[in-house]
Amino acid sequence: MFTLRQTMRDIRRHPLRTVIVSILIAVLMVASAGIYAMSINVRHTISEIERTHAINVYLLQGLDQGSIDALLANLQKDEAITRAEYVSPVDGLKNLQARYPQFASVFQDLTKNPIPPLIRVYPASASGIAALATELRSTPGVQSVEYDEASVQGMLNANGFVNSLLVYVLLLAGLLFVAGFSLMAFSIINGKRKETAVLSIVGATNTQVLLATPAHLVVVWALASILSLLVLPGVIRYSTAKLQSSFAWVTPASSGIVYAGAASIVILASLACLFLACVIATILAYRIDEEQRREETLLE
Amino acid sequence: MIQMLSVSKKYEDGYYGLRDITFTVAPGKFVFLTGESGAGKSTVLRLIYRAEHPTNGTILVDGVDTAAAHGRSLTALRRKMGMVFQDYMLLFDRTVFENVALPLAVRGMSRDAIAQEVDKRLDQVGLSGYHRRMCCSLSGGEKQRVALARALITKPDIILADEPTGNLDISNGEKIIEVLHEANHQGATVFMATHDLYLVQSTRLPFVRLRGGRKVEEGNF
Repeated sequence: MFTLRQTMRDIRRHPLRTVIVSILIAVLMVASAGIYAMSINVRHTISEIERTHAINVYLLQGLDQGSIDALLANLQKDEAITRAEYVSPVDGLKNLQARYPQFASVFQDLTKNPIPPLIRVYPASASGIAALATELRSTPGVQSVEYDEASVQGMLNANGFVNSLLVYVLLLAGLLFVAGFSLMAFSIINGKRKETAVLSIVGATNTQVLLATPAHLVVVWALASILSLLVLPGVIRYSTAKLQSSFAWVTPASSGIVYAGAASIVILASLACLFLACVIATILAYRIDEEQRREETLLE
Repeated sequence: MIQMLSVSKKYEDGYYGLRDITFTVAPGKFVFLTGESGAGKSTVLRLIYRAEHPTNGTILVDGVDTAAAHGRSLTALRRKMGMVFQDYMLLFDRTVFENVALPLAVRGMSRDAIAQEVDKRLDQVGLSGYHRRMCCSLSGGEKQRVALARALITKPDIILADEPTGNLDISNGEKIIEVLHEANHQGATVFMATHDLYLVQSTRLPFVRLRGGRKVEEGNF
């Protein structure tokens, strides 16, 4: 009770300082959450780009429509494939004519359609495209399988780079968060050292001495958490503006799951930092090194 | 009663703050601990209120070995004492009332009872009406009187004062000594460290004199 009263009194006495520290901690929390949300957005965008790479599966000339439909149905069930579409020889020729109008006379002179039946397959990810192509080549009824290998390899290289970059950015954001939070916690702890010494002198119990600093930290952390939760939805919406996925099972908004994840991460991380700060405050209050105590608290 | 029995204090760097100090401060007495700066006066007081442990020897406060005091027993030991420091050890971001009330607040006394006691102590040290003043805005003499009021508010059995007049002018210094005498007449044991030999001589009270961490003299002028 004494500790709570003292903490509330301190906070009432220094409202500006408390609010500024809370805002700074909230900024750290929101910035970390924003970086997390952006990384989700980048990964999502990359996976969308990956899905635009197609494998052209050319079928044997004269393959009957029943076999083609069966093959198409099998491919559409495959989990490694996002989408598979059939392009008939007639449609293939039309596409060719539309793409190369300058060769219209050549197309008119054709006595027989040379275009083979085609199934265009869109793999779920670029990394599995080579294995999928190999599998498709051995499928009965398939004449040949083609895809842009150089482009896929380039995409894989770029993905690797972006993923490494994201890991670095997330690690950096985490470190900045921990460092920023710890610095502020230490500044509060440091500001409370004289109070800790005075409390010991006037006969406070160990519990009262030990709780003086963590109680203050908890209040600042709670204020920062409330502030960050108020601002977080806007930041997440901004960070995930291009995220088209639906997370209707969590919230109608597409950013719902990201918001929930980000909020959980920042709150858990700040709790971890708070715990760390409290442990340090406890060690400081109970430090065995008497010379340090003498120098730092009683002979200021 | 405070008893120091063959007490030595050696620091990590090998420096001896105190060497083989033995003396007794009888209950209800006003005793000065005197000596030049660096003689070990503050170390003696820190050992008594258990901010430090002695390297050798035993310190007994009312028969309790301070080295054995931990947790609740240490709190109980410190609650017997009121302490006054040369640098006041006040919380400057709090009011006079809050500083003086602190020892009672940690003991869980009611607000009304605390308010009454604070009134009495501030009156005793000549600071009536200073309740709402911030400690940072007080003069040196006023700060020391606030510190003294804080030390006296629990009516401690023992008052330890470490150079309480060291930073003050003569008038403020006399006021502090007067209040300490008053507390002593009401039954408190007062053990005051000072380098002011003139003060010790003029009061004709018992003293213990240290030099270079050793006791060189004990008695009355």
